[in-house]
Amino acid sequence: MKKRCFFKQTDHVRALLSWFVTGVLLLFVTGISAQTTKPSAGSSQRITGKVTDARSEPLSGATVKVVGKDIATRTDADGMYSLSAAAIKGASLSFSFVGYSPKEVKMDANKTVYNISLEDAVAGLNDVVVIGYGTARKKDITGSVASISAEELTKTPIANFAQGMEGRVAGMQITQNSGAPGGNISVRIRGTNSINGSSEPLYVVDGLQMTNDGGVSDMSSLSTINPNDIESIEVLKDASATAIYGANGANGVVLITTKRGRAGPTRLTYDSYVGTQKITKKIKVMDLQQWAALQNGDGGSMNAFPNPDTLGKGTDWQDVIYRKAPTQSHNLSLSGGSAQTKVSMSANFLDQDGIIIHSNFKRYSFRTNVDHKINDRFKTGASLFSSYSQYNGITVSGTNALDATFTGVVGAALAAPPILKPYNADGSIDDFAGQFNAKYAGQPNPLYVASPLQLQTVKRTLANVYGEATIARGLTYRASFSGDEISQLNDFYSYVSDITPVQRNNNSGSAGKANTNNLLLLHESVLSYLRSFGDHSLKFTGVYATQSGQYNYNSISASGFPNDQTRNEALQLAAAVTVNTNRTSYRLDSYLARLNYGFRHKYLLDLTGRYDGSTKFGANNKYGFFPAASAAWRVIDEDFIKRLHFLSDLKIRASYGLTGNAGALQPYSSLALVSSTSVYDFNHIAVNGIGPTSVPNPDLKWESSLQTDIGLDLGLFNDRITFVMDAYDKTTNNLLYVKLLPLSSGFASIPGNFAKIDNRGLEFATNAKILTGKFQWNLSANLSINRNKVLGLDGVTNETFLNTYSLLKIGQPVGVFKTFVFNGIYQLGEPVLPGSGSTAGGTKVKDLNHDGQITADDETITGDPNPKFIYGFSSNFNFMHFDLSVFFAGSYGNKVFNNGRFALENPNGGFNNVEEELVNRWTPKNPSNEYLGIGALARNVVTDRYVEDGSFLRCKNITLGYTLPRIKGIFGARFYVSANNVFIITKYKGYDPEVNSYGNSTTQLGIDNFVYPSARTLLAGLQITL
Amino acid sequence: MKKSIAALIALFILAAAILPGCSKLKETPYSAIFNNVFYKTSNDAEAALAAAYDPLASMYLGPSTIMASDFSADQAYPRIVVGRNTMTSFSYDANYTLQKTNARLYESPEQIWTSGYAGIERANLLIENIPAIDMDTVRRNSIVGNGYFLRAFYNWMLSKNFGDIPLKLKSTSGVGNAFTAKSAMADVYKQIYSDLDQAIPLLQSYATGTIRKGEPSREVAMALYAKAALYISDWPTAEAKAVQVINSGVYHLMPNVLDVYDVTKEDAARQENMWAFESESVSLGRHQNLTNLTGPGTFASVVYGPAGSGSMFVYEAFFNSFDPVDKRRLLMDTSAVNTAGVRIPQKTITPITPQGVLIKKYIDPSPVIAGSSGSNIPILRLADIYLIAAEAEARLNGATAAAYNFVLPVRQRAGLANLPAGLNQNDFINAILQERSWELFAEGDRWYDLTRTNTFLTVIPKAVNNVYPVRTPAARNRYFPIPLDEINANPLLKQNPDWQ
Repeated sequence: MKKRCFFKQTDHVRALLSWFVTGVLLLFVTGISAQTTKPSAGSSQRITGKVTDARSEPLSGATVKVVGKDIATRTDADGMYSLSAAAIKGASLSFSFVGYSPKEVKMDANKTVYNISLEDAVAGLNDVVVIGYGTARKKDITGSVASISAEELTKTPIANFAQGMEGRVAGMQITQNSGAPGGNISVRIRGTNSINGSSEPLYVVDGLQMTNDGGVSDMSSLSTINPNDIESIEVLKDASATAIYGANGANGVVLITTKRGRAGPTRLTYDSYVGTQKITKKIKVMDLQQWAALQNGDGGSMNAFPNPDTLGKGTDWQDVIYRKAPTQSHNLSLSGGSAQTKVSMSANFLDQDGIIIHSNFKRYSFRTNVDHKINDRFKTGASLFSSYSQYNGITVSGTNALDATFTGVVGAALAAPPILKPYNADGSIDDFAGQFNAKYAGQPNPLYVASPLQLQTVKRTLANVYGEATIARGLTYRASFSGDEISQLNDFYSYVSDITPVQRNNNSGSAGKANTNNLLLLHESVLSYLRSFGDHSLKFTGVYATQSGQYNYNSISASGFPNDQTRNEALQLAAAVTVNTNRTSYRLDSYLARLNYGFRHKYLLDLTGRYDGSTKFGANNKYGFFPAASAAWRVIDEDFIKRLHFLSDLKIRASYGLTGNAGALQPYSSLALVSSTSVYDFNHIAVNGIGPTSVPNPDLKWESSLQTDIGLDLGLFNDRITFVMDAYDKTTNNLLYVKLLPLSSGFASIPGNFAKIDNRGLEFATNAKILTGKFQWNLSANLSINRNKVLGLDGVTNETFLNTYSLLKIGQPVGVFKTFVFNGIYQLGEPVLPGSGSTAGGTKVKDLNHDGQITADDETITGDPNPKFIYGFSSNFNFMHFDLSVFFAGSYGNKVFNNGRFALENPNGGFNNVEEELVNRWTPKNPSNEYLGIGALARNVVTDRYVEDGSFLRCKNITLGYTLPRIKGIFGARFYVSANNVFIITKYKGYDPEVNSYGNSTTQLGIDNFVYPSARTLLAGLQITL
Repeated sequence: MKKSIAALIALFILAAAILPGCSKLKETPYSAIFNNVFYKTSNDAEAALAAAYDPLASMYLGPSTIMASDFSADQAYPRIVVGRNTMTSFSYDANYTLQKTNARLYESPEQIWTSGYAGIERANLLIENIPAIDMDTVRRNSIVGNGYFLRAFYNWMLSKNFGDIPLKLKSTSGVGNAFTAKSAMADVYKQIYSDLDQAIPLLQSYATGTIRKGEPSREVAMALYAKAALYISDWPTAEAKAVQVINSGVYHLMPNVLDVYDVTKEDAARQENMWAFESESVSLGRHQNLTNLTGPGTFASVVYGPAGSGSMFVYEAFFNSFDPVDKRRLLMDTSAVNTAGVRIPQKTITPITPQGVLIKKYIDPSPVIAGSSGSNIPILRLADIYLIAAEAEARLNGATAAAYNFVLPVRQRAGLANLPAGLNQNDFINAILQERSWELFAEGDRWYDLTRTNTFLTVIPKAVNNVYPVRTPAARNRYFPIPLDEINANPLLKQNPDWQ
């Protein structure tokens, strides 16, 4: 059916229209003449006074009201108020202000001056938490929602807010895959939900949806956000909380609310730290003497170095690439405003050098949030966040099991022959071809690996404008328009001068420039209705949202430069240039509704449904429906419980619902397309081929998660101790997976919704105020247990390898390791089992099926990279002006495949350096049963020897602070010293067990192929508020 | 107040009306093409043709076509490297596990399977879509002819390696027709014949001088016909087609056999080297790895090229089997001069054996890009066609004068006299097979002579040296196992019986 279009609809036009409508909205809203409440007319008797906060600072804009009367006013800039009402004995005055606990005072007939001090609102059940498309009182929430406050988040100085979430929320696993400043980080809420899609949660920053992706060497996209701008983070975990995000909610949702202005005196805060970072450990490799002895072969048979003992230690390559690295952050923020207009602004500068040479992360960011109340009916506001980030990356090893010691700077440093010198006499570096007649040039110079320019520059702007109108009592309409623009430029240049002159040819020197532009536009219309009828309370939220995304990519790579003068800034000088461009777009239309019903605030019921339609879905599945229902019983409000005075809160929650995961679905993946193939050369000239790219699948759609959650909230002794417990079971169906096609079809596979996975688990969180009063002691802790199980793959395959050792197998968790079982070293004369490809001195593996030969059937599951449980605990102490906090996070029962050690334990890698332990390697005279000997077939074998226990307990942070006593003119000042990554208790032999060379991979987990190691940071900080 | 409510309602309606738009969430790709708007112009046809050759390059890069067969046979062997030695020691499995886990799949029979069927898919698309394009008729015919020729070639390549194979004659338009059962070898060859019968009239003769380098001429299709017939012992067809090629008179042997492999004379050598994989040492070119494999590894040599890994040698016994005056013996060497001008003796050419013999068929002393070779790999060569004619004639009629005449040009060019007169049929045929071995070594040919004559079980155990002291093929090694990846994904397909 052909529908007539009023506008010719292209994404471009639609984008313009969105902004046009925004403009219209603003015009309308500002055009409506503001009908501010006029102060009441003068009267004979006045009640006056001053409203202050706990520190006796005046509160401007606080509401002062005579209870039950239509007499009210607001405090002025000095906190003063004046009410034209006669003092009525018995009547009450109420004082209220956002962020403070309201107060009521009985009026005295003779008293006309009431000076009131309002206390800061304390965390409590009346707290409002942010939920999808609205807010709710904590006591009314039926789903599983956890909050992280700004204070907790930035307790540890961090570059990326995801770092600050680690160990804070039950059910949330955060892995810092790369120790590079601003580097890759992965987040899982309630386990891995996807195989070929993404398991990263949806991030919603002030309503704008964003994702976290990228490889282990890339800058984390979350690093573009300034953590200091965040007011609170809410983590939505169960179906009831996430169904409102429909097709994008299945992996959980992280809602980020940035700081908004508060009425009251303007506060200017300067928050800064400076510090230094250092590598936490070094891996022991051979020194020059030991290495020379190794090169001499078994019993000196090769005789390469007549007197190894005289050679000294040689170059310690780890000392060459690691350094002490400074870090600093400066954050200036301002907040204030009147009851009518509130402003919050910030500026941030972060500069963090990495502990590996050349690596660095810099971020400059600005934010302005404005809220303006036009009158009692209309509100409007805007926020603008802009950041500029520069990430100087370093090549760390890729994921290829065989090249750990070649491709990355860390592996290269461990394997570089200690006989070589890092620098030439003139201070330049070379590719090792300039020393010893290129004898050792097979191994790269770590400095050469680190040398190329790899700069990622990201400019990001998040903008939002909204207007809100109260149409009738309880009925409000909010229209919001948002945009997220990211432009990224990747600069690459590999220097000609790093190549030894004899090795240079007309292709030497390579360069690249890649531009990526992402634009996301979002409109949301939210209609909400909130009413109470006697015992019944009702809230309805209806939303129409439309979101469009555009992606533009163009990249130029070039090679063959005459010299390094222009680096990658004049690619036209290159001998060969290749170009690649790509553009995609998508649209997501959504209709959603939520109904919250409460009976006496005791029995609560929530119904949520979202209808999502996306261009990315196949023609047969354009729209999906995602419903959820949840209920809660506030047992504490039952009369029979109220008698138990030690109980302060008791609530039982249950939810059930369906959510989707379409995040990883790429545009056009359901279509039958042709695209360029590799070339073929006719008449000696390369001719581009165009051929089919994939087999079309019109049924392609989202992944769907069905989740049940049962939870309990408990408060004891007036909430001095609180517990939250949740049990969940989440089954994800229609997982994006590839069905292998017969190769004889001309294709390898077809993408579709085939696989199935289950996550079930338990979460516990507790918070205790152990001591209050002069000496305060708080303790909070959380523990999460998640069990992951693959329930189905493509319907045919039972198990499949993802790489040499990671496996997907039905009935097992994702990414379990399947390897041979190490059984020592073959000794002289010992019969070598056929199929093992080994000799005396080589690895011996167990013949598990006792068939007398070694085949793939002798491999077995030898480890699970998923932890048995993860936990975090923190404790805060306050005494007088001092505060001390400690924070631990840990993981138990996860295994790591130490691929780096696999590479370094092989003495047959030519001139590579190896682990120091190999001085005890097998030789005919030293029948080691542990370390491989030298020999043509004595190759290393992937065995459980390299599947190591990755359990750890990390002291993430210790901070000691001192708050200055009050000084006139300064609202508050605090100094602190802090240590990050203080120590780690682990059996893991690599740098750090919190690692994954596969970055954000959903299935290839716990693999250490020499990533950027983590650093220990010591810093001193200062926070001053004026 | 009423005014503002009205305004808001107007706004709401406006937003609701404009923003949802009226497209029904249809997708329009920017950077890819819908396949129903492709195959419309002559440019589309040319691009589709190049796409059909792309898998040919993938097969010949490793090159799997050479390494799978020649390392199995009795002329060449690899330095022992995990995964690469499984052919020579017959220790491969249907999963090609060691090749897979050591990133050597591109050298394995599985690559032949994967690329063969990728090529068939794209050849099918040519056959299905090109005839309807409005373009120059001669060129269109030629492209369609290429489609039939390539389908025949890929099927032949698959069948000689795997025996009975799925015969895929329609492109894969959806999951519905992605699964194909096996056909008997006889039916596969029937299809090869039929495709070549289609291709021959559509392709141009080499005599026209219009053949684009890299594409087959009409005579090349005849040559493939002859060779395919040879492999199923269809002697009359083999002889007839070989004779057709010879009598066409458009191809000639190079007078000096060394020039066939001289990269600087590549275009001149096309008069003999009828169809080859076009390896190009240019920045976007596809290039084979044989030059690197056959170059000495422990030192750089001016003759072989800047990069060599010392990974492929011939057995010394094979080298010694040549008549010392045989010019083809110069396509091997037992010593080499390094870049400093010093001659490296045989015993130190390679650390793996003192009896290393280097192969010089793929040398490229000065490639445009170091490490990538411009040396083509011959697929169909006129010398091969002479030998096919000789063998087919002898199989049909014994060691006739005609048979002697067919082999003569090849032996003469090698600087040898004709075969001794008066050979009986068997001895003559054996002499031709031996001639094929000398003429076509390291061109991925010998193994198929040994398997089609079923002599590999007795020949191979004798082809040993100190690197491979024991070699014991089994009957099942006649064909490679169908890759497990195919068996697992295709319920219609059963593994070759010997490999079950």
